[in-house]
Amino acid sequence: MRNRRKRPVIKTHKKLSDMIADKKAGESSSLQTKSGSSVVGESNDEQQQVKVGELSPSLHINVDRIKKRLGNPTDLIIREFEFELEQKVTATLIFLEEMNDTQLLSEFILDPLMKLTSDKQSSPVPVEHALHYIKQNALALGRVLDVETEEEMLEALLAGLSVLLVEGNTKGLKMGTNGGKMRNIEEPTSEVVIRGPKEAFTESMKTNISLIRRKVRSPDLRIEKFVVGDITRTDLAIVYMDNIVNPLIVQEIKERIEQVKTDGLLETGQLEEFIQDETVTVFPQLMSTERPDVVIGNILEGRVGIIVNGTPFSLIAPTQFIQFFQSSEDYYMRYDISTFLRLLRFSVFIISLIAPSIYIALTTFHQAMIPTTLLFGLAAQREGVPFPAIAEAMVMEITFEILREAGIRMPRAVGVAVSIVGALVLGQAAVQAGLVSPAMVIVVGITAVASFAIPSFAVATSARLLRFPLMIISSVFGFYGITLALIVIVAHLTSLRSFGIPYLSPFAPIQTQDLKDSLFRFPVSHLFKRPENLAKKNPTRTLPYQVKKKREEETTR
Amino acid sequence: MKTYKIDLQQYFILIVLFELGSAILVGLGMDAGRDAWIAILFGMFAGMILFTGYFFLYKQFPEMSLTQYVQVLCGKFLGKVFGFCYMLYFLYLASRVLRDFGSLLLSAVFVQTPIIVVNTLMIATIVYVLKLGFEVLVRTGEIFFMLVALLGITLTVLVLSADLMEYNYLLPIFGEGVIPVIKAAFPVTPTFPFGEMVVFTMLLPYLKVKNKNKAFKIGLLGMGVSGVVLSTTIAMDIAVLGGHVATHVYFPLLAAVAKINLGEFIQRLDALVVFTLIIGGFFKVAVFLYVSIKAAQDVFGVKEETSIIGPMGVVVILSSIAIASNYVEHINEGLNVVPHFIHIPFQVVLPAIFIVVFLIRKKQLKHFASSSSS
Repeated sequence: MRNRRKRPVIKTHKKLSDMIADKKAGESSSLQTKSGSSVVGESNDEQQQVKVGELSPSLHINVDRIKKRLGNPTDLIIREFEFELEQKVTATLIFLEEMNDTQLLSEFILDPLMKLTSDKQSSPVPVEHALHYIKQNALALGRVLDVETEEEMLEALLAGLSVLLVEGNTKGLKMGTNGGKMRNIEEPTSEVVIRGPKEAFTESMKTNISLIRRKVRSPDLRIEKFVVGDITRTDLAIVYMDNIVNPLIVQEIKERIEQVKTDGLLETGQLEEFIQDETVTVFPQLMSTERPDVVIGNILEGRVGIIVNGTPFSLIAPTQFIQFFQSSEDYYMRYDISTFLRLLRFSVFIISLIAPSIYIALTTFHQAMIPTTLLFGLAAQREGVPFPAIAEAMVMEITFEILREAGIRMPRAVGVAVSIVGALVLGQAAVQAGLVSPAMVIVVGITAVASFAIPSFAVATSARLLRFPLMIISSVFGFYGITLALIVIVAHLTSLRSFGIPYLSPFAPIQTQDLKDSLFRFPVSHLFKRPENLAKKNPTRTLPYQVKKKREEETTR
Repeated sequence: MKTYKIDLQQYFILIVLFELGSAILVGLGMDAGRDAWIAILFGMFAGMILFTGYFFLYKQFPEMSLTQYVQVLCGKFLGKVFGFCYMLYFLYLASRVLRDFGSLLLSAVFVQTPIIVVNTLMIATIVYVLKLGFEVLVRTGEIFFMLVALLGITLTVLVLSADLMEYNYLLPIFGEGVIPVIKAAFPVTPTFPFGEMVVFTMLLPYLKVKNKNKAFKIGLLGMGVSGVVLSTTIAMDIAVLGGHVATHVYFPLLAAVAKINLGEFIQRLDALVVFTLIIGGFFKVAVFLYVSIKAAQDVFGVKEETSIIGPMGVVVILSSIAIASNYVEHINEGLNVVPHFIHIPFQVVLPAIFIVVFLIRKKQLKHFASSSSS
């Protein structure tokens, strides 16, 4: 117990170990653990702790405990062998077969150990020091660490490490021999770019960290690990630039992550819901990405990346609303087209948000605004339609939502059928049957295409959800209702914060410098400053630079 | 004061949105006929003088709002009476503006809808935003300011390119001499909208600024910008509609913009105007309501402002309907009664009295100021 306290364990760690200890001792030791390192347990308690948590010098007791705790699974390999020091020493190598690289195990652990002979040694090594001796002389592996408690050992085993126990030693060794099949680095599927790096994160956190490390060769890059989930014990890492980031934001993120108490963490989406500022909102408050270059770009601006083992999507915090309209490619293409695309994406968001409600408002209240010829056309179309515009729009929008959901979840082979039925039967036939007007089909079509053109799926979802209340209010109050609803939406957006940073910055409050990289993108050579809120202590990103233009004669001498 | 502080930029935007809010809609200074735009500039300068007075008081009590320093100046009881009157005044103004907008919407779009429905929707929005905090109101203002500015520029360009303006309508300037213009300008034009800057006596303490003179300059700049925009808008209305029509239409801007017709495609843009007007009206009512809530807080010692936003909103809805039995009466009151008997006392007379009281009791108060600040 004492030893455990000395190690910097994080909170969730404690909880698991408590649970184990509780179970075995049948007596609550959690109170003690909670009271922290300041209080040292009484000697009576201490003895019990030794019995419960720490390793016994007897090999088979330790092995039995592990077997019992894990329920003696079939993939638990317990390899007993002997090696020679002063005398013959029995040792056991324990690992979970599917999670380890067995070749590593045999080549760099079993092979050198079994070949150990006493004649190589200058002076005979007593059994008690066997562990230290083999760590120094025999194990040809990089990551070899001591384990001192049973929980630690269990944790190492479950994390895919192998554990070596030696008879007569109250310590063990855990060795980084992780293996097993992992997905390769592939192209990103949800954030496709034409120009730019083509690699995406994978499910393995190790791979993901290596993808980042390789691109940022700075000693100031910080990667801090956490464990979240009482049962899944999911690894999680936060990544940031120590010389840029606002330490208070890092502190806040760490605190929020440490406070997450749940049984399992499978995806960053779950984490997002735990650590976001506001729950009652349709807007995403953390950005997720599967592209390493996006994470790096953001940590260079003073943001923090959060990588979770087991999912290719990492989070970026804090997040501003405008980021959802930016793509990594914006920085790789020329600034003029980037600006155009950003404006386009934003208008597309607005369209997918309010296009159906505007159509409803126009046809219900403000017919006078429609040019006369078009109005006649619309009126003729709507003549045979028995429903008011709102009913028509609702039916079509909901149909579209159904089609979309069906299209995503269906097996690919059936998908074709869905699109045929959707497009032909529903679209064409509904119009011909006089259930909806053709103009309505166009409006719904535009809305649908627009919502696919938003680069971020998360923010497209917000528009998708807000569309329905907007349609209802526009059918009752026309443009007046839409305007007021927009005021409410904007007010709600301005009230949001992501880790203390206003969600709508740099627009509200206006930050002139940051506006250069918002809906517009100035040439990279003119983006001198990092975002004002995020990188106060190290604001300079680019130094002013002016190319000296050469004339023809100068270069073609 | 631990509440949210607004910076100079936000303060400027708030002034402009507030000043333009409803004033841009109605024909200002129309008694001056085609010289209305000059009357507005006169009114603006008079309003700036008033603002100087308000700012003088603010400088003496930089941490206090009007209803707070009145209690210092005139004693607890009398101060509370004045504060209460100001609260009613602000509430009345909120109701008036709300009524203006309700009526506009009824006449333009919702002919058969009861006005209470339209007004309730507006107040519901305002209450929601104010519950999120004054900060949210100000920041929402920033967003919509950009939008409204963009729309304003677009509309102006369209009016210019549609070749609707007949500059002769504006001539001759001072055709009947300067006197009728001045007569038209005073006393009505300075009180609305420029004299309504009196609400900023309640908001100035929220300024996040060290240099008071700069705040003063920005305040004047905000008034100047809105004055010029109002003046050019009215001039544009007159140039499009002609002096006679412009003075007799309820909403000259709507009438002028409705004339835009470019290539049979860009037409009936009055909806866009209505959009900007709803936004302007929203901010105006919201600011008045917020200020009256602040006043109520000071007078009645309410701790949490959020607790009275809803009830005050309901009061505004009801009084917006009760203040006049029909639109003609409402406009009539607005032109003939309110400026003389309500605006001038609250915007000019009372602040002037407060300044005089301050100058008389200066020495006594110095003692107070030093003891309160330490």
